[in-house]
Amino acid sequence: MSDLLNSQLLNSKLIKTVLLVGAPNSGKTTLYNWLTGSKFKTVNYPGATVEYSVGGIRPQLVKMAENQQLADQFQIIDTPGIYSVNPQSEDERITLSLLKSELMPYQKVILVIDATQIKRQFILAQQLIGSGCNVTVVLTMNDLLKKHKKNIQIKPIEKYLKQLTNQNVEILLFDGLFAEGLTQIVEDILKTTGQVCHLNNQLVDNNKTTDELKKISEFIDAEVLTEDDQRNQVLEQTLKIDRYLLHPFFGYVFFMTMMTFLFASIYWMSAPFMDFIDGQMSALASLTKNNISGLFGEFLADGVITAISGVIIFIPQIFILFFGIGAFESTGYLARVAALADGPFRKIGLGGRSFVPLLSGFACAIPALMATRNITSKKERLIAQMIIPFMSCSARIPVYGLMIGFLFSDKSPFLAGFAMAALYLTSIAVGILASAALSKILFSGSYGSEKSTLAMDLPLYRRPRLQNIITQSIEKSKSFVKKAGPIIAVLAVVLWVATTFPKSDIEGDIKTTYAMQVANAIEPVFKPMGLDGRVGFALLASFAAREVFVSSLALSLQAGEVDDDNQTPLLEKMAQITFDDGTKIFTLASVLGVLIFFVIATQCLSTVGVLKKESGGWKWALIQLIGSNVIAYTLAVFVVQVVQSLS
Amino acid sequence: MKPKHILKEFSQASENTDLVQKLIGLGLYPGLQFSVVQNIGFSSVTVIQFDQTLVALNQREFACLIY
Repeated sequence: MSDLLNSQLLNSKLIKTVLLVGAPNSGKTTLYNWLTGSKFKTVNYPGATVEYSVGGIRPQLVKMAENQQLADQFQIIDTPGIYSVNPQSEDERITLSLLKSELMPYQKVILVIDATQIKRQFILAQQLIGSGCNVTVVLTMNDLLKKHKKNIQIKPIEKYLKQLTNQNVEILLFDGLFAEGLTQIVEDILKTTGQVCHLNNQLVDNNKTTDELKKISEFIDAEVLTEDDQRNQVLEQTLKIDRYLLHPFFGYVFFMTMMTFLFASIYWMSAPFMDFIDGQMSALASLTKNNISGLFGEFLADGVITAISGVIIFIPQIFILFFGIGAFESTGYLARVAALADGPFRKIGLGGRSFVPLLSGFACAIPALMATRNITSKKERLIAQMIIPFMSCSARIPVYGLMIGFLFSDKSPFLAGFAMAALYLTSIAVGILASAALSKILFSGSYGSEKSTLAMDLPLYRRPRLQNIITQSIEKSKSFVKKAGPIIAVLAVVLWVATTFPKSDIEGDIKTTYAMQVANAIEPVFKPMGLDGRVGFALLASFAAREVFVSSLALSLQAGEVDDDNQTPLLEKMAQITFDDGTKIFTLASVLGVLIFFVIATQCLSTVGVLKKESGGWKWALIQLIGSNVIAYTLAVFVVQVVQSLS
Repeated sequence: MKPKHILKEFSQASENTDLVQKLIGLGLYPGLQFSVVQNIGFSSVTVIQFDQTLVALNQREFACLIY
């Protein structure tokens, strides 16, 4: 992390650093977004900002030209959430290291406190201000306080802090919804001098802290907050809802129903949008080929457009996945599921804190692996890291969509939706089995006695802001395309060259091409899976990125052209292709084999790299990579052989 | 109405040092009034409420509260 921070400093003219510090869910990331214009999300569980964010002040916030020059000198860092200066997890340790100037020098701390939770979070203000940091306190969620007719009194807080620390501390109010108070915060940042500050090393005495908490609580009750009635209504509503959602039986039924609905919706709801994109991309490929003649036209139509459409066609499905997870998060339900999961998870060597990283794994394994830093138990953290790659990430959606589309086509969208949900549930089952096995076999010795931690906030339920969820889902979907785009562009060129040259004398014959030479060489490996070399070639290409499988398959099967009846060319091609003896390649058996392989195998090399970093070495990363691929291949071959013999 | 308890102290077992710090970080301190709202996750997790805050604790964490 320090390398990245240093490079940020070296590569920019920024010379003053402001740390945004605060408890999880305090509104830190919302303020960061307003200040820098970045599109990061604020979530309601610990460890959300485990990957810190760095940004400059938005030019729109600074009107005068000379102030703009001044503003350009600042960088803002959004740090992982902490409750106090006693770090408990890896991500909290990062914040403390930043505060101690161990990673880089900084000039100011903006301490973000949720005004509705000021009693609990105020202790951090006391600890930071009392230890020599240049701190401005920003009270967020002011909109919620106003809505619930609570009035927060600033003057007594300033007076209280001055008495305790002998320092004048600026306290500002901020409304995350309309950014009320943002100008004052920017003005305060611009006043920052070049003086470097750092948190003094201090041992926190628990007895002293609890005394302080007691005093703070009494002081806030007496002088800061008034009129609690409305807030209690929100609490009462939350407790009522929790009676059902955290019910020992119905709580799990509700959760399973919601997850099944979400995973099935990925197929159901996206279908019309995918058909539209498919039609447009096919028309574009056709138009290109008709208007640009020669090799370049072929390259654009069969190479570039086919590859790009292989990715963007799945944006609706990916958007729905992110939208669903975002909706769970923004209501406060996700934290409850983590608590609900603690008991069952404990039976397989995990704990409730592993739930959010595992769920994030359904979007992408990389941030999910980083989110495991929030798990305090080393054993749990390592098990979670090992099984996250089994969670069906968004890159697998294109493959699942294609294979399910092949099996069910338009005949039974209802069944297709359930097939999609079944694949997700299978990946969860694989994760459970792997976790139980790892817990019993690999980690029973050295880590066996380590105690697990759950202790976490359950935020009060709140109505989600639809616009925020949509914006975040769009940003995440864009990020997926941006991440996959460059890889796909390069691979599109490589694959098109490989499937085009050397050209045969016979029009449309690709048997002489480099791709087919490779395909022939690797065919014996894939034949037991019921696949020929061309499909094997696409499967091999998917080790660069899983989503590349579809475009690679389209290229290796030469499925770029559009038929007059406007049906999906790749699905048609899959239905047509045969082995040399005339038997079909894509059958129920081979499609099941491909799906099993993609559910289990770790193919994404970026994931392996991050796993190596997060687990502390190559050992576990290689065990995961090799183990999952061997099991995936063996199981796929077994299923294909059994189904073939039965049919 | 759930019965209110007063947190007397944290269990002093040496293995609890980090845990006590975590609980203090979440806003718990001796003298605090809290109530047990629910037992969830096959009774492995206890949800407690104090002021307007809900906190989920596992068995070991909850056992650390002497009330």
